[in-house]
Amino acid sequence: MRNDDATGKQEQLEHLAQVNALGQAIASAISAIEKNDLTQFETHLATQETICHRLSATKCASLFTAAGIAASAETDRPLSLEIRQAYMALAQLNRVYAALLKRARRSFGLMVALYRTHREGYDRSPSASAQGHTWSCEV
Amino acid sequence: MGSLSSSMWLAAQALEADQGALDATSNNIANQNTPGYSRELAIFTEAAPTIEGNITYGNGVELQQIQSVRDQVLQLRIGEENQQQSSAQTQYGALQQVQNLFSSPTQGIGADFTAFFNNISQLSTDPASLAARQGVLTAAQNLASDFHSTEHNLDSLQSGLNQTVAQNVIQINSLTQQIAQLNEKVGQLQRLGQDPGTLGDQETQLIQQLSQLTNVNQIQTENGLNLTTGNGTPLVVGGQSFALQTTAGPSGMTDISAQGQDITSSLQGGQLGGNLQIRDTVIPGLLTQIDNLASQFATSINSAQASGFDLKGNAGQPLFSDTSGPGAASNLTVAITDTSLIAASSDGTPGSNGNLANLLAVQTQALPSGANPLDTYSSLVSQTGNLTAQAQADVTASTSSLNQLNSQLGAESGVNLDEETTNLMNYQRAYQAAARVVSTVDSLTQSVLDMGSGVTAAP
Repeated sequence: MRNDDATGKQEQLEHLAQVNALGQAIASAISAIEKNDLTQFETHLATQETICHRLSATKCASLFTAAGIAASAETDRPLSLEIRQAYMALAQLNRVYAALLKRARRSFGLMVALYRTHREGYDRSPSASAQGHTWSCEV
Repeated sequence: MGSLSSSMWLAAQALEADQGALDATSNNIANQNTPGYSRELAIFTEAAPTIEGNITYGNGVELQQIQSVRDQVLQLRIGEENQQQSSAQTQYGALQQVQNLFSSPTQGIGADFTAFFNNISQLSTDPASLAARQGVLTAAQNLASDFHSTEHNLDSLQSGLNQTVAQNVIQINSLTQQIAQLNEKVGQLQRLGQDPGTLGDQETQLIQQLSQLTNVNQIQTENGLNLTTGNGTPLVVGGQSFALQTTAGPSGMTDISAQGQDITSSLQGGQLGGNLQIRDTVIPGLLTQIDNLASQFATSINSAQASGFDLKGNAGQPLFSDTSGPGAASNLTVAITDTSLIAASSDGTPGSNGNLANLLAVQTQALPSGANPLDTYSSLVSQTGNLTAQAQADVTASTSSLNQLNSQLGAESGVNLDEETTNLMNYQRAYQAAARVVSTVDSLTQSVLDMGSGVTAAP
């Protein structure tokens, strides 16, 4: 039983580390957009993708439902609180990220319109808008 | 035909062109830290040649114009982003004040609901206790009082925003007037084929300031720039500005009109748009919800009271005044002051607590709005929290986006000292070479004159 508790706590700690790492990757991606650094942006996007795959595969996922949080709060209140705060910070970062990407799409849209004005028949890939989401937004 | 005088003329023209380019470079260097300055480029063209028979003589260089480097797309995006940032900042500031009123489900009205039902629960242990009955009445009064203060504070916030709306309109009118004056001068220069330079920069700066106040569309025409609001209401057409007017609307709020038409609901973006969004949408929405909550809660409690009997065995009277519609929360009052009038009994005997279960049931039963009182209030708290968080995210995203756009603009239109220094040296050398040509032609002319007067140069 004690081993199960220890394993569970270890999994939660790993999960917390992944959530924090995802937050850092998003913050770095925001900073890369601000600096117009496409290479860095792509690197951070790939990092987000990797972390999101890890997070979705984690056994801890069920712990972060309302019932899971309530149960873990009874056993380890500070850790549960820390995880909750990490998720709230991540949610706020995601809001900023989504708002910034929306603005970037507007700039892109203006450039497309400009190209269309100068060169008839400019073809925007129909799948381009579908690629507008981010890995972190999926979480 | 080529002659010494034509060579002199070509060199003088080159001197003039290089002097103009040096002036532009000096101006760029002087304005390297001036906000909104667009670097200037000297545009040289080859003068039209003279053709005599089979021979074509070049006529040197002309300084066609000094052109400011501007990127219309970036300027447009910066304008849009300024609008969004100002709007988000205004909304965030107002929403933070709203959030203070709905800070937590366990404070204010939320805490009052809990305290009210706790007191009813306590009363059930001794339904004849006057002290316990007084506890219920006091809790009801606290609840009504917090409904009043919440609604009053929302009203005050709305009135404050209303005053800011009127100030925003005054600022917009002042800016459109200044822009129209500049626009006329810029248009005159453009019609003459000249670059508006500094005037253009000043106009751009003023338009950016206007963008911080409201959504502005820019349309470039032959007669200069036309500015309209987002819905196409003209603000500036050529050299003429169109002032927005303010009038008191039926609700007591300031309405904005242009040429006699009410355009309040169509104004978006900027401080004005942000203020209008909170004043006309967010606060009225919250007021409606708080009024509904007060009204529905009072009706449910009164209904439970009516199903029981008071300490004297009479049918239960309403605990709260009948209140509904706009202002219901402000009008909510506790209708009884006599503690014996609380209808705890279900059979008319003083010791019965049967009806308290009906009163307590209000705590968990869904109101007509769909949730129990505390959950309805929690939803309000969560709603304001989400709105505030979204506004904060928009401010941060807009700031990042503006940093990105301004750095792009700086790279294109800003002054690069290395480049300007190189230009300075190039133009200086060109000027020196042209001056050398003048000096050489002068010396040759002197020799020719000396030949004519019989004087020969000393060996």
